Amino acid sequence: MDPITTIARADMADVAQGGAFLGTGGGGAPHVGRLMAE
Amino acid sequence: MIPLDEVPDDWLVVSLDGIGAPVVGVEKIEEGEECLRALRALEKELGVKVDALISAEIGEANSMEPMLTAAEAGLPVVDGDGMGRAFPEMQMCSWPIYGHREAPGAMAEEKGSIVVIRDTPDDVWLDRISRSVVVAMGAAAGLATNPMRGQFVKHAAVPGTITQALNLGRAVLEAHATNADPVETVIRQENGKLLMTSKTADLERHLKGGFAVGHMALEGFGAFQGDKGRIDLQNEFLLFRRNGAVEVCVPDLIVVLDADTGLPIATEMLRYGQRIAVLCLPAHALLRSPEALAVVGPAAFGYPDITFTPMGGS
Repeated sequence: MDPITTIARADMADVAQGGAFLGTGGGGAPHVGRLMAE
Repeated sequence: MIPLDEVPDDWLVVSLDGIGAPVVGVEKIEEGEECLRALRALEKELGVKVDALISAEIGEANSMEPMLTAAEAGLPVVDGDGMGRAFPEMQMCSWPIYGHREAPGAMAEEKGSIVVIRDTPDDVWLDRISRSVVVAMGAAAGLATNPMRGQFVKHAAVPGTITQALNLGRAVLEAHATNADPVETVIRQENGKLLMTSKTADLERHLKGGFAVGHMALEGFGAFQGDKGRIDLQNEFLLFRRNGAVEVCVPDLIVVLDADTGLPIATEMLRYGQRIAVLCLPAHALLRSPEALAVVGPAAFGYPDITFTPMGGS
């Protein structure tokens, strides 16, 4: 099995939203990085 | 993305993140290649090419930085990170906690400045020097550190946290789409616990040494009517007190959500009068060990009299 999994453009909103919960408080908002990654 | 346990032992993996004050990041939008330039500078310093990237912290903006840079550089990103959450200082990452030296490191900002930190006496000094540099860089920069072999990363990284973020984010967005309770969704998905629903009665927050520091006072409502809460913060939320007694502290994660939408509220977006839900989520076991607590426990944040007691879940 190929161990590398593709994170698709459509997944980025989910990762950013989840990252926002896991970092709530600090760390800056992930949405600018999400838009750039997309 | 490559699963943590599939990373070849001899791969060179570099930890990437943005560094600076989140409050500044609201208005100073990153240019997009800061971390890529920091990565290239670190490769030049080392004289080798990097095989994969990993996030120093999965929380907030740094969940995106390795993926953005991976896409730009054509490299895989490892499914894991060094915190399982976010912490304000670099030495609070599992790489140095479990014995890896953070230096050398490289920093880059949007105007083209690049600073390479070849060595420091210890990892706290790397953070201090980086903080001084990032202030000169306008309080926001990209940072590449910890050139690590895959063998080390596999036992020091918090595993699966990109997948965790993806599944959590997807569940919450689905809850919104189906009018389900997003707060309850977070608690169920992450084995968390609701600490309080409250109104922000007071907020004291200022910039100090590149950090957003302060505290917020809470007045409970609903099932928590009559409770008085307080949250201390240093970029992240450090302590939650109810009626003067500490209930939750680092490294367990204190989460502040908008009580109505269930969306997380970052430190820089806190406001007087907000109606919020305060949750706690358990830290990964890698962050609860004695060697980790010495670095990310309450004493490390200036609370030597508080002993970490793991939250029990819902």
